[in-house]
Amino acid sequence: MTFCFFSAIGIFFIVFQTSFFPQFGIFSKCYDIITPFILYIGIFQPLKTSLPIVLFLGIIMDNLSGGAFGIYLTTYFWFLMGIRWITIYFHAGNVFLFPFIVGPAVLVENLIALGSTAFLERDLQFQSYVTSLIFSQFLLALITGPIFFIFIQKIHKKFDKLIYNFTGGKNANKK
Amino acid sequence: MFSKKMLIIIAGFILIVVNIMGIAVSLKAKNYSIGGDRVTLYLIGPLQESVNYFIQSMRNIWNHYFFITSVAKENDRLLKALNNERQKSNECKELFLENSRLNNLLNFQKGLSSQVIAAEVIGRDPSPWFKTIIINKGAANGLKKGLPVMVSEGIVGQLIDISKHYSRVMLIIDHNSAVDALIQRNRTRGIVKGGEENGNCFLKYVLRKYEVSIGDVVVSSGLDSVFPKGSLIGNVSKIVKTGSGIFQEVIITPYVDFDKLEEVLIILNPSKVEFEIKK
Repeated sequence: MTFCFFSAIGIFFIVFQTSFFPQFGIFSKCYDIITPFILYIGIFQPLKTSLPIVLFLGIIMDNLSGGAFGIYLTTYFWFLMGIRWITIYFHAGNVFLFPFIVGPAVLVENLIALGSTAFLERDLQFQSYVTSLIFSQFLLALITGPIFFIFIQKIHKKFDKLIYNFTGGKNANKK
Repeated sequence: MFSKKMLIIIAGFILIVVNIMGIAVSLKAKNYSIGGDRVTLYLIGPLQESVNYFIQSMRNIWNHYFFITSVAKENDRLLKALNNERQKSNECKELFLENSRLNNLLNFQKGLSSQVIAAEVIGRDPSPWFKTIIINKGAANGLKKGLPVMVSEGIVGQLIDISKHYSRVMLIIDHNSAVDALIQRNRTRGIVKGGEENGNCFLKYVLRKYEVSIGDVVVSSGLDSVFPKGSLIGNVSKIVKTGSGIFQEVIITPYVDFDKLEEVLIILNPSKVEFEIKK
């Protein structure tokens, strides 16, 4: 049930990002909104639940993207591992941690994508817009990351409450 | 023999190595597909199409109803304009008849109409680093991998993934795209490659000895057997001749506005189009 819920939310974000955002120029510099979602489930879901979701969303993103297969899969997988390690190491899994991880995560994701492009094209010339885009996405992620976090948390709580009411408290996610 | 911590470190290291190797193999075998892309397009395509339909409907409502207050003023202005345009219309009719005669003479119109299929853009690449779009036509409509995608302004790109009802198009501004092209004025050859900023393209491998001017029109050469010969690509917007090197760096601005693409045309039999143009 939790897998289906988070997968559906993830697919919603993917469709939103690929169909809704491109219609409005204001979102042209927006970062990958699946990243904060991956970090959220990395913090608040056990590995046995979060890993299949992350792999599932990674595969979908790879198949929708023009890049080589595996870039998103790799990025999301290591985000999951990284965030789990951070939460264990710092004993922190709350909203205060979020601005400090979404920004760097978006930065790393962009560097991986660019690295894969550079791997294929040895004479690739990085233009000034690349630095500008990376920097603006980084700043945007720092500012809006926690908003995404709160948004996902609210939906998650509503879903938990719904399940709790539906099952009489037997199968609800207590987290 | 090993502590648990050591085993985790070794496992992590192996995982990283396998991951990097997997990505490297995937990068080198980009054209190979096990069908996951088709399944994904099959599943995600309808959702993207629905969102697209919803947005277009909302836009229509906005344009037709909420702007109705300005319509009265617009109507007065248009009535005046109409009188002027009537006179011009007569001239245009004459030009239209002349144009029709020339089209028939070239046998171009008939050739294209039987080869082309129209599709709607329903989604875009989730990553800003790769330039692809998703369209709502697929194998069921007769599309095949590699077919050229165009609009009236010029070349858009090439089909790279096909599912039953949806397809993915790699735009010519993508890093991985390459189109064999030539400068229309003096027939200088080069390869149009994506990856330039602001949605522009590079015209690579143009020898320094050839004279290229800003504003020169760049068209497809047809030698890549993908795009029909003479299809418009863009015009030269910048030329850089560095101190050394046998090539000059030419930047071209595509005629197609890729941010505003809504509908595209797919040429089902590009080689035949080329043949008919020649004929």
